[in-house]
Amino acid sequence: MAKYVIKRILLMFFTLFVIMTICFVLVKLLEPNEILDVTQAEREEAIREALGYNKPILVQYLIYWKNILTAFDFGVSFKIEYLGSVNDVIQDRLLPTILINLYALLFSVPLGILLGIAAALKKNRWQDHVISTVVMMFVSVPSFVYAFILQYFLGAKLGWFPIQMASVSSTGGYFTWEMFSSMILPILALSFGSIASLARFTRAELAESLTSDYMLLARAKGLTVGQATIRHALKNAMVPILPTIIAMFANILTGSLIIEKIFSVPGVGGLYIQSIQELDYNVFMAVTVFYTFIGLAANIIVDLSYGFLDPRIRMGAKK
Amino acid sequence: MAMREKIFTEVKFVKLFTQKPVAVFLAAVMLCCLLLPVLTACNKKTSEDDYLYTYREYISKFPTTWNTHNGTTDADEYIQGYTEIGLYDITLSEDRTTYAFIDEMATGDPKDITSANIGKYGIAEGETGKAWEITLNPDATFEDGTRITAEDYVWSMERLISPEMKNSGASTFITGDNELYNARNYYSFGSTEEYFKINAETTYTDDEINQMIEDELLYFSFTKTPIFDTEGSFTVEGHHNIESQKKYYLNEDGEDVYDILYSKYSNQANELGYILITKENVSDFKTNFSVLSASALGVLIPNWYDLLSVLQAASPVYTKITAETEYTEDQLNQMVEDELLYFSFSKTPIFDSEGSFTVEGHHNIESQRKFYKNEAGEDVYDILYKKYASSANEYGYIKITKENFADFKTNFSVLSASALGALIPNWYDLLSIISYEESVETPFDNVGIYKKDDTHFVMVFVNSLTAWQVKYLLTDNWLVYKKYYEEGYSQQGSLTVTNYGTTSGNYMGYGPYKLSAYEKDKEITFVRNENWYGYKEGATNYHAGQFQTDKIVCQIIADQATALLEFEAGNLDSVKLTTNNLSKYKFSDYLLKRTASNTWSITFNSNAEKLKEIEKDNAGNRRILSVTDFRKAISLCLDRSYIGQNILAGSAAAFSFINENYYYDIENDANSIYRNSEQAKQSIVNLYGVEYGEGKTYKTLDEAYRAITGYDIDSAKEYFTQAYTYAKANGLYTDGETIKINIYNNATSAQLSSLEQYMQTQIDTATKGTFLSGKIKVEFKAQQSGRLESIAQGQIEAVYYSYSGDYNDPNGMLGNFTDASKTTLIECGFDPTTETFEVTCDFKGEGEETLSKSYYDWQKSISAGGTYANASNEVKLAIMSALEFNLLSAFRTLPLCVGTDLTLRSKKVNYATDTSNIFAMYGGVRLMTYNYNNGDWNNFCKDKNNLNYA
Repeated sequence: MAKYVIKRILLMFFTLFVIMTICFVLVKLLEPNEILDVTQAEREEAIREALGYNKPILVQYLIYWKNILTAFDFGVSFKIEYLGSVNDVIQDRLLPTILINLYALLFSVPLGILLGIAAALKKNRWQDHVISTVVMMFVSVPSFVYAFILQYFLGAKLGWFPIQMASVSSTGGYFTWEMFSSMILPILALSFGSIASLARFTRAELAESLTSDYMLLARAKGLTVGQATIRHALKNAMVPILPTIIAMFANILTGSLIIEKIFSVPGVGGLYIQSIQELDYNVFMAVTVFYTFIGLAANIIVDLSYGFLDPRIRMGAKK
Repeated sequence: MAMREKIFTEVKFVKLFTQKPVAVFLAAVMLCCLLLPVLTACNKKTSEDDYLYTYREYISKFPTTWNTHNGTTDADEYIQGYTEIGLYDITLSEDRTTYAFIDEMATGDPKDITSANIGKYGIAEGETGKAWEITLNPDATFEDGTRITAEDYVWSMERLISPEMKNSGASTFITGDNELYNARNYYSFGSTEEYFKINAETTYTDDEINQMIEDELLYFSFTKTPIFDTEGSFTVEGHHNIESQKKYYLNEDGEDVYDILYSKYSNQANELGYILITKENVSDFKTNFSVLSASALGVLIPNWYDLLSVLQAASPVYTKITAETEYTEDQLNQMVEDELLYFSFSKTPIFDSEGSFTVEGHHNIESQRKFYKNEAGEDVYDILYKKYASSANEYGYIKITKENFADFKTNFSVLSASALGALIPNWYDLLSIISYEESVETPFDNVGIYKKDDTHFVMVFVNSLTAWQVKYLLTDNWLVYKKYYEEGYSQQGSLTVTNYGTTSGNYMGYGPYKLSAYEKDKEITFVRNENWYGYKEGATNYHAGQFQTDKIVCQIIADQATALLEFEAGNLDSVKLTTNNLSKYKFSDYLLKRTASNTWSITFNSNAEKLKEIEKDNAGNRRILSVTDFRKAISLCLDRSYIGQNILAGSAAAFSFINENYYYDIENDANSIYRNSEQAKQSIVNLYGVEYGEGKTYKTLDEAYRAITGYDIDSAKEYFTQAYTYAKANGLYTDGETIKINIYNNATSAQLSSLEQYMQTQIDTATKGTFLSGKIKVEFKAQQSGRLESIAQGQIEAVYYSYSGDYNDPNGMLGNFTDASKTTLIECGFDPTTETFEVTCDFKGEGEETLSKSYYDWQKSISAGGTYANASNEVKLAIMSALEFNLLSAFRTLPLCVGTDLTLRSKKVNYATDTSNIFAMYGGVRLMTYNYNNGDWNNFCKDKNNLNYA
């Protein structure tokens, strides 16, 4: 197992390096934005020269790595936050993103699983049809559509919730009731998709478990339907579901560009696109490294979690 | 056994999700979520500032720096709009119909003291309007109460145009009409000597080191020397400040070698921060730096002397010989002998003006190639390129030697003898002279700004300016707070930068409001700056009855739909509208429509040869775009009013590059709108062939002008047919070919998709029944950067863009289309330097005469220093309108709509006027008044019917 884990981690770093290299080269190949004002163009050129952007890409890349390895320095931002360290650019925007994603998960995981269980238990009855229809709708419609609907009806028309996320200065902090209530609409918008996919997944797995032979055995040995379902069917059905939930947790650091834009969440969602549009190379690379790392690490955790949850699929386990 | 335990633990983990407590927890979470709406609806707390007047607005992007020296975006300038104020400001006139200047940080008008400075700053006898004395408001302070003096303005100007900072804001004072005397030289000047750090690969013997010490060439700087050779490396000081790195600086006795050297030598640094290595201190540096080399850092700093720098001559600078400079043959030969003359294909600008194309760039323009042909029909550029391009040095320059001198002379003479000769009179004007100074060494003392005393400073300009122009210029700011500015310094490569104005903590304003809260990407709050003179009764420039607003809360809302919902809920006091919102708010009493100075246009490539190159993509015919009738037909297909009202946010139709916001004599006549002049109207009437007078449909010029729509689908059909016939006859089109017109913008959008759809429908309608029916395909495409350059060089067939210009300079706007030295000239297939037209006018007050000049020459003739620069307005209008007519009648550029800004204001506030003035807009926060304070407004909003703005 340890050997497998080490191998995966080494592979992860190799993949990270390849992706970084490709992204670095590609973003440097983009032409600088056109500036018609001569002095502004002159300053831009002076900055590019001063920062070594006119050197061969390979040389720039080596310098970039040297700075990371010797000083863990990913550089400064020039466009998104003038002279701000790229680490700060990301860090300052992480908390709102994490909070919203985390709340959305806490809301969607139990609801998704419960709906899935209900649908499986009432398979092919009207309850199942209602849940499945709602689930299909949630899966099919993109989250920004719910976002607009929620914002318009619950925010603007009914006035139940703030239309957009509140500011810290008006609420006194991220962990206040007022702030939380202003996050509810984006949380709901982010949750619907997750609820639907979890419900669908749970229903499918549980429905399969419920028809297994061991369920017959469980009933035969005297367990009630509820006992058999909870102790046997649900437990087995959770094996493929739990890794999905783990992956969801790993992804709470990634923001949703559209949801954050609609609800004015000062998160990381728009950072990637903005850094490309404004050619803020250092921010682009830092965001690339950050998200690639999270994505790759999440993959490893999910893969390993299968082994922990089900000894039958544990890599390297002695038979 | 262990295995069993492990499995048992994992099973427990799975059980977690199936046990009772977990189920209860899950249920509780869900219950909370369901109850939240009810709870939050009850959670309305009373506002603490009910009696204040708060203006709530939004911007879509957060400012990155509001340092007036280098902020470049609208968002960057947003904060300055409240926290800073110019020496003068522009507000609405008392009757609210036009603009008026108002004294702010200055008191009284600027005083022309040119005559007192004759013989200085290049001022000659009899000149006026070059030196201006400004008297500061004695009550002006920074927001911390520190008094602002003339010294602050002079120091801030030095920083603004500093060569080491290369601030983008310097452009106002180093180029153009407002150039300060010697500012350009100061800005461009770089040291003739530079400190080059010894890199790790270089090795020196002791003798060599000693020799350099003797020659006083070796230096060290704690604050400038990078610890490693890489770009962006920490300085030695920066590296030493990192706690984890300090271990490398410890010698055998546990002492920090950095601290040892710093305590001994840091006070010996010169003004640039470098300490000279001498016979006396060398052993000390050697001993202590050897500790670093011997540490784990030794891989990157193998030798003790790798942290030293060698003083050397700076990089060479190549200065192009200007058209005015004359050299004799002997002088040129001498320069060749001294190895001073160079030429570069890729670096030398073809003309002397700023932003000119390089020789290579110019040669790439198809329409310009004819100037490069010698008598034998050979391209002189190609001849020289083939022979000498490979001998360019690392800077891209080719040395002119005795051997190649004649070759360059012969071939460059072809250019001088061509129509370009007006701009390149001598063959050697394309050569550059090498030097090791970037510019004439100019101390800041020689720049045209100086302090007279604490409340007076003088600005000396290169050009003569009027008092109006000076006041207008001084509505801009350059003042910064020295302490925070200097504290924010850092070095990015060779550039000094400051983080001044990037957070509320490193910024100091001096305007009517100050930053009170600042939340990245979310919200900015301003409150009254109580130290501002404008609020203090009895202070100079006290503004009684103005600035009623107590607080401004600005949210960052990137999504316009969200902003509109907030506005409709009463949470914002103004909102920008889009075309989609117009159907609802078209007739709202609260809708404000303001036109900007830009005009959205489409420019076509009209060069058949270049268009043929584009056809290599096999997507369809492009050459037909070179036919004027074809372009005119497209123009006539487009109902600009429809586009403006339904596609481009309620914009007004545009029939020219110059819209209603340009004034030809703003200084003397506040109503001198160019577009309203008789000449300007006549040019558009002529363009569309509308007749007026007795017996005609339209009696007067005004009637005829007002009737123009630019839209005539029947005529368009005729022109398409004519274009088809012509194109077919001239091999520009073959029957059955699809015609593909890709129009490039920096991005695609829903708006452009609508425009694309509209154009396609209109063209299909106009071509129906002709041979071109269904053959023309229009598509808007995105090209984020370089699209203007691409069309100038004929690489693409059309672009969608807008140019804007100075409100008081309509001729400057025309210059975008006629000045060959500008990168704004993008009409490929048009040569403004050789194509001519005639103007009939009473140029000299001696009766009418007809003159013929090139487009370029006509536009220059009424620019500063031109033949008719001081002529009457009639002459200028005659030239401008003729220029405009001739440019438009080629239909290379189709103006579509005027840039328009639609705003909905809330019932909470009143703007000073609902009719925007291009200089003072709606009167701004200065003249804004309130119908409700915050408390009353909250009550007002409780009834949602009150918030109906439709």
